[in-house]
Amino acid sequence: MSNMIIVGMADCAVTVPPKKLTTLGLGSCIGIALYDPHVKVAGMVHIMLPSIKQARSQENLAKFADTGIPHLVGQMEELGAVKRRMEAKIAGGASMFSFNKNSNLNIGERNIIATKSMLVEMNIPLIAEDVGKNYGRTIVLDGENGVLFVKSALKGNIEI
Amino acid sequence: MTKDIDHLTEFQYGALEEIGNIGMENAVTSLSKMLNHDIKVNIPKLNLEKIENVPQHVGGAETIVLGLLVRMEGDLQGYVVMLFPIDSAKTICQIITGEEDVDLTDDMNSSLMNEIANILAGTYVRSLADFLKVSLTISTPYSIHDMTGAILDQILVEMSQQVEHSLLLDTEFIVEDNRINGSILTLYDTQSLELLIQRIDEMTGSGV
Repeated sequence: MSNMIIVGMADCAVTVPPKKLTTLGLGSCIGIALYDPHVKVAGMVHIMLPSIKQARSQENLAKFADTGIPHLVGQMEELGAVKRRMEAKIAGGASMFSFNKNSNLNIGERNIIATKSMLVEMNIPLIAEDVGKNYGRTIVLDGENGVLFVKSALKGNIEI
Repeated sequence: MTKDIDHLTEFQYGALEEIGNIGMENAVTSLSKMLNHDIKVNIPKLNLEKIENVPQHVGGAETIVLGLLVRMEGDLQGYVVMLFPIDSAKTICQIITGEEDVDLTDDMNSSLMNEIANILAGTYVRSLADFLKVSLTISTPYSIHDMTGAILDQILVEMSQQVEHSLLLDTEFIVEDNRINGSILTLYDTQSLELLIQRIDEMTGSGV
């Protein structure tokens, strides 16, 4: 576990091998893993909401898809990563339950859409994803090779 | 910024804890009657937290549990979340149905657990409403078999769309012979917290 850096909710972190980044128990939040394979710089952000625009408090950039991704890219660049070499993998955005019958898009789906459109806007290719459905996920990003390990309670584990 | 967060007095904190305590005691008593076993409840821990810090207080984000959720509606908005370790949930079903091999995904057991959520949350919310003289109802329960973190995650996300902080009341309970344990969390948004404090101040006449 000592090699593991835990990224909390609405938090982000960057690292280099041999360290790994993990975020635990993603529900409708999204874990965004960015990796520059050339210099082996890894970054992860755990976003909660699609956009900072409607937010009352705009203090925490890592909380939103539209600010969290640029913020993470900036931190990775400080470690020598270059944006045009970065690749993205995302997981989460589940809909665990729904009390809100009148909203047509649930928050998990809105997070997925916002995340993808921000990646497009920043020209970062999304090379793998495990999103949506109705169960939680824990993810681990390996700084050595950029592999994203996705664990779930009942649906098994996969590598993307 | 919510001014009340900075100005919560020790007395108000104590009163909020006491209100939680009354509700929890009543809720757990109803579970204890249903199971015909004595239940020990610890004093609730109260935390006013930025929403993104709540998971750290609950711990064990990856622990797989049976989570039962109910949304509080009316004058106060929030969620009541009951988390049972899988073995405890199975034991509850065993005690009630007399079945040896419990499959929690089976229809009868899952509706049984939903009923338990209904009773626990219903008692809690009713005693709260009586005490504070507010009108409160609860939604139909949801049961989710998943990681603790993932269950809380969506609740926190839903809340974070409206507010920045939540009041977290965390109670653990243990059935005397240690075969069942679980925790009950109550989460209120900051707007509801303001109303709660207003009521406390009115009742005690201490318009702080």
